Amino acid sequence: MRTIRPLFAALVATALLAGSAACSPESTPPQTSPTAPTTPTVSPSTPAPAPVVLRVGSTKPFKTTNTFSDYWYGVLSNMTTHDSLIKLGSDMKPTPWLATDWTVSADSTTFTFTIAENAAWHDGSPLTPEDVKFSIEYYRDRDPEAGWMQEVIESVAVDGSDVILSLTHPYGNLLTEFMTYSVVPESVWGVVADPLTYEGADMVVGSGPFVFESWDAAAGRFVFVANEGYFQGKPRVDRLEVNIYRTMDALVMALANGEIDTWWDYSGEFPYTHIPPLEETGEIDFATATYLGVPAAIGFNLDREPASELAFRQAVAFAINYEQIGDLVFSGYGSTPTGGFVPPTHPDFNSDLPELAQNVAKAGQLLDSLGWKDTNGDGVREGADGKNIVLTLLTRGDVSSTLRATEMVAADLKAVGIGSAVKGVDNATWIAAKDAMDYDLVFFRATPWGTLMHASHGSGYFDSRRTGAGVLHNLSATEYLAVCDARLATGDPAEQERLDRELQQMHADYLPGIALVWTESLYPYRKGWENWTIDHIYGGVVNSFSWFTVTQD
Amino acid sequence: MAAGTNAVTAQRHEHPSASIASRAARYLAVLFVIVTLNFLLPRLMPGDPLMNLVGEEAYYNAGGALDELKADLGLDRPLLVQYGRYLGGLLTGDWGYSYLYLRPVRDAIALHLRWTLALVLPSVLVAALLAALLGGIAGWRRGSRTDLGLSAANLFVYAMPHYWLAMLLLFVFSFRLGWFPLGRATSGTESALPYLLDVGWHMLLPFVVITAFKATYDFFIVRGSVVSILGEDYVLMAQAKGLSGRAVLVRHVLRNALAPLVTVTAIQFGMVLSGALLVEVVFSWPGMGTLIYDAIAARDYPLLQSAFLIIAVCVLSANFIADLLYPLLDPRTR
Repeated sequence: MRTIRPLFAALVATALLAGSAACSPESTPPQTSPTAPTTPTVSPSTPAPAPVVLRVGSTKPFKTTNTFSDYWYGVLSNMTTHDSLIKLGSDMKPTPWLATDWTVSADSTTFTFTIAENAAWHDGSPLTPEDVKFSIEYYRDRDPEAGWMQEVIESVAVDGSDVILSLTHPYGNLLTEFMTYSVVPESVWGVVADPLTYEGADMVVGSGPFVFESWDAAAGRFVFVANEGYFQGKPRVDRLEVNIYRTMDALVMALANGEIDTWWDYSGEFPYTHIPPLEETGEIDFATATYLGVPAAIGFNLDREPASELAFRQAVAFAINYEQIGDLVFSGYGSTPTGGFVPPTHPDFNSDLPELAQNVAKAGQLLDSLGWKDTNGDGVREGADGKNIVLTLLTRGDVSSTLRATEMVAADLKAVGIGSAVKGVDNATWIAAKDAMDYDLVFFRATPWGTLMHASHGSGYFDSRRTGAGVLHNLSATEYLAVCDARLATGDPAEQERLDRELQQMHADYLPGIALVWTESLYPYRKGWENWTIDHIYGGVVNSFSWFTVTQD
Repeated sequence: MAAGTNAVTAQRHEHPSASIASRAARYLAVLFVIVTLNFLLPRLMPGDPLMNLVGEEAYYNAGGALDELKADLGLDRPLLVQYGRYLGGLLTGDWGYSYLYLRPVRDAIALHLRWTLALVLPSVLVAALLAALLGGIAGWRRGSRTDLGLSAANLFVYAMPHYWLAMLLLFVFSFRLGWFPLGRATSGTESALPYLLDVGWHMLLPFVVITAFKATYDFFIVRGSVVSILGEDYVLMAQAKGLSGRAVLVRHVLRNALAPLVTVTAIQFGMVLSGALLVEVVFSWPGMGTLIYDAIAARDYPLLQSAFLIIAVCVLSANFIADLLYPLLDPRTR
């Protein structure tokens, strides 16, 4: 025992040392803002009304508070501490924000933005058109993710309160693109050569409706306080807390027991499986809106047989039981899509296109017409080479709804005599396999922002000249590419509407991909909160518009 | 046979310091193999870290800028050169730059490792104590109701997947009863002693899960060891001397029965660390679990290889310490 005692003593000492080192508050200092307002002194004779505190839960993996380097913080800051020139309104039209007005030249190569004159940075200095010019040039020259600007933006000039962009070629989607870029202060970033690695305390300074107060990684919490001098008026929420949980289960429990008031996920959908337990609490209400993206879709590899055959793609479209996917995978909140790919939430929705519908007999006829029949009676059709048709279904194994939809489609295909091998992989592997065209059918989800990019209405996913952001770049039909180019070049609303409808028609005709379902999204929040505004892009009730409409009983 | 006998004899007469040096050399050789595997394995995974660093859009559009970035990060060099740089970096304390956290790997790991160690080390210690106590009692009273009850209870807990047990405790004690927070490491509102108490409050449930995971496994090791020792002559001798049952158990039985526990603890250290990763995720604990999970998703080579290396070094160190301690606990092995 004499040898054991020192052993245990050493172990205890080690454990306590490690514990105290980790638990020392100095070891992981919470980050605080250099410009966070101090708590005002309140006279005891005039009690101030209780501050409105909104506690939001999220599962996003935040790393830092640098809006350039942390994708998720970039999104969060874009609706809290920072402003963009314009926002996408509930009507899906560009809405003035830092830019109070804008004009587009007839040839769509000159954009003029008029900057709000009373906007200011959180350190009190005015936000000037020069800051806007600096921001655009800074993104173009320093931010790898804004590489597209180098090809598009030729020059930026300031004329009074106007910022004038001259483009190298017409780019009708510029307004949409600019909704996601926050204007940043030149006084902070002007001396920063590499924005991705900057960690100065002033990186959180913005002009937005909230001032950054703190980020405590160990507590998993951001705190923002209302910007009293915000140029659009003080937000109705005095204090905004964003609490981070690693699992949706923990977040839902926090919502049910009142630890948080609502949920936020950029472009995300609240998991339908968690809705019934929240309803049972009687404490949660739900805001609803048709999801702007496509939560489950398939794309075809048009470079190789059999998916290169239009009749085959049509057969697949007829083989799928869309209602079942909506009912089982999306808990009854799904609806049957059309061949146009994007849901009716999009402007210029082409309502002339019919809903997709399962028709097994029709699918069989189409496959027969290709000469692909099951001659040996094993339940799987043989192709021209006499071998069984077994498709590679590339899917995300880490996204349960996508994986379940894949399995259901595989069952539907089997019913019409098409074999399949499901290849469920993580995101990075999915991207590598997708870009190597190592699939016959690829399963994916189109985000709200994704459906708006490029020439809009989902074209960014299919145009073969596109790259990036999970796109399939699989359709190279000259006619289709010409419509995309025309849509990108025009700033005329009437022409845009005609081309938008034509794009949807072409998706139905060429079938480069098929939406498996459109969904009604539910956004939970605790009772007592009312008058939320739903922002389709930011994915729910937590967004820049709600700060000025939401009320608490 | 004679040569073998000579070898054993020579080994028996080996100077202790030479023995330690020989073992250390073996551990260093194992460490070298692990370092090499750590370097190779992430690179065998599909996917390109640059895509995660700059985004897919920029990845395909950046052109020359991407080449510059690749050169900056040393990813344009042949694999052998990258390996040489990696080894050199390890020796000089430069573990590279995390593409995901955009900071030196050492800083990223330091932020998370301390939270994992704060959780795991006390758990390992308490689990060992619990296993020694309960396993000793169960073995001493083998076949009794106490033995059956303890064995059944330990088997029941051991059979549960620990992440499921974590979810269960979170649901019952945090959500239903409201006794504990729904995860994370602190409330972020305290300082000094209240801060430490607050951390302890946050840590208790994950601590219980990891401790239960380790203690229930160790329980059967200790119990089996005690049962095998009970038939030894020296135990009979101690009883014949008239020592109390407690004295026999503590002074003679447990002392010998604990040696396998030390070995198992060392061997299991890696399992406890990896088991803690899932528990960390359930309790939103800001430890190595979340770090590794995110690093895998982002193909962050430097971060991944360093995180795995840290775990490997922890396991090797635990085994090395066990190697050194074993002769102290059991003189027969000297």
